[in-house]
Amino acid sequence: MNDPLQQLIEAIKVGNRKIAATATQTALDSGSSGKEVLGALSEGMDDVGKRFKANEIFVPEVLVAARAMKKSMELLEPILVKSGIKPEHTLVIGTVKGDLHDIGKNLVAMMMKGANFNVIDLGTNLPAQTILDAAIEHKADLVGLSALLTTTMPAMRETVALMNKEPHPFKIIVGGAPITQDFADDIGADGFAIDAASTVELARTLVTSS
Amino acid sequence: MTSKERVEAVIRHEKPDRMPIYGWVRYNMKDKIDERFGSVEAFEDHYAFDLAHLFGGPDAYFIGDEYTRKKEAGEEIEPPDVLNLPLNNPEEDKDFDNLRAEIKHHKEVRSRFVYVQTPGLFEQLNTVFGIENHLCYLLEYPDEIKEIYRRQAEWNRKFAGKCLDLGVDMIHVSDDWGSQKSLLFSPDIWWDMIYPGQKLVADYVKGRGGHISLHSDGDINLVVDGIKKIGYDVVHPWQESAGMSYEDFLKNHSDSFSIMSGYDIQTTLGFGRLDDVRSAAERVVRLFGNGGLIFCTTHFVQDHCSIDELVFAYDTICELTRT
Ligand code: B12
Repeated sequence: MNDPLQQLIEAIKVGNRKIAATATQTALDSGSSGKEVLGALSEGMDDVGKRFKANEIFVPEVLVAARAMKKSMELLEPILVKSGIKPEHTLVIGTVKGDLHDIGKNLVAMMMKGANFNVIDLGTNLPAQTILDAAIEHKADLVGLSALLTTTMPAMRETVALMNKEPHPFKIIVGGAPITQDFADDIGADGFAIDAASTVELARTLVTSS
Repeated sequence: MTSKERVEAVIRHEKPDRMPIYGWVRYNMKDKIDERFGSVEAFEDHYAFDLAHLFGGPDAYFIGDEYTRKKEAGEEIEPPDVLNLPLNNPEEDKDFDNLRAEIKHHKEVRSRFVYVQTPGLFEQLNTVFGIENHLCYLLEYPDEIKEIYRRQAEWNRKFAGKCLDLGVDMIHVSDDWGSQKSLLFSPDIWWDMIYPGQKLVADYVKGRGGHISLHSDGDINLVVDGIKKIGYDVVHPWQESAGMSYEDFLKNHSDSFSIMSGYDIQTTLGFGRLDDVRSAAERVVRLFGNGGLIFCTTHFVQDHCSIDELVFAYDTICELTRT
């Protein structure tokens, strides 16, 4: 396998940081465009997301894939900036107030980066106002809220309510272990996804429909 | 039957005189319980809880200067760093003073079945690495992780031995492996890395005539065969809301181990729906009338549960099992 782009895809799929970095460099040195390298990253992460959704791989495999993607992005980013290639859409994401669980939210953030969204990850335990302020500041197209606890589902409801008080240009998506489509509908969110790969599908649909 | 005999009957797969009862009520509900009952101990006495769930003993790791420096500088603690960290003495007598007093009280005064919680291999190292890094290291540093787990299992074995010396009935290994939809890591990793050390501790405890139990949240269906092979006597919880069905347990696993479960705190207890609470209790009593279950909550009762609902829940289970 001599094609560095193909090597990059494989390196992402198996989460090999070193090979991801060298393949990225080789691809760029041998004339691949930033866009092509980005495409390879997305293809690798897309495959990872699908296998995770199908329970063929588990959280560690997704995490190492995302770390390999990050290594590649460090080399790629300056090239993208130079050639004016920017993600079309921005997701602001975080875990709601009172909740410290972040593995699921991080996986979602990683898969969304892999799908070429600009992702602003605000972290955990976030007051509603902080999330709203960040959504406005970063001109978000999507706001993602995560909650893993039944105790913090009310905070998710309050956050959505605060955002929906005034008209806003972004769509709100929610998820986390106790969250269901019914709950998402009930609190006025625009979408719910059961896992990280489904989030990418949902996000694509929502940004194209708006 | 005394409480201890009742729990042991369930563990031996025999029918107890009545279902043993327990609940993880202290963590979030302490203030509300104190106000209504005077203390959590008074609540436990009021409902004649059959078990005592104790914590204590030494911490495994001696956190040295280099570790602290790295943590403070926000640097990753990697497996080779941990191989250089010394472990504390798991049998240091003075570290067991609190446990000793509690064991004496619950056994001698209340005749309860006493279990001590101790972190398993995964949970113990989450504290050191952070869970997300730890999950990556399972793939990135397999040899080092195996060595760290080997040392840890030996430590856990000695800790368990000391607890058994003090009269503890069951060692409760807390080691969350599940998430809402599946395992956190692959079954292959589990068999290769987690299984050997947990088996070592279980064999030792059982060889000394003690009992051993597992706490793992979430969906652990993919490693139930391994859980049987390790020989756990009891598994807590059996999180139905995460795909662990009681019917499946009764059909396929109840000859091998018993479960500690009952009120699901993710879906049932704490939502102000008293009819659901009652139905859950009735179903459990119907399904486990012949044994197989130690009644408990699936985790800490969450603070959205009112004291009235908690009292209703325990009044109900007592009414259904004791009259
Ligand atoms: C790991 C874990 C922890 C770790 C968290 C570490 C971390 N950095 O995140 C620790 C040990 C710290 C922890 C602490 C606690 N935990 Co906890 N924890 C879990 C556990 C075992 C797994 C969660 C997990 O990481 N899953 C793996 C990820 C990949 O899955 P996920 O989070 O569901 O995410 C996926 C989807 O939900 C979705 N998704 C997630 N977020 C989003 C966001 C958007 C926008 C979208 C679209 C999708 C989406 O995509 C993700 C990827 O596919 C669950 C068990 C369970 N049944 O889930 C309990 C669980 C969530 N914890 C529970 C509890 C009670 C607690 C504590 C309160 C206990 C305590 N007092 O010590 C504390 C709470 C601390 C706090 N204030 O937050 C309970 C909650 C019960 C309830 N009533 O809600 C659970 C369900 C366990 C149980 N037996 O009941 N916990």
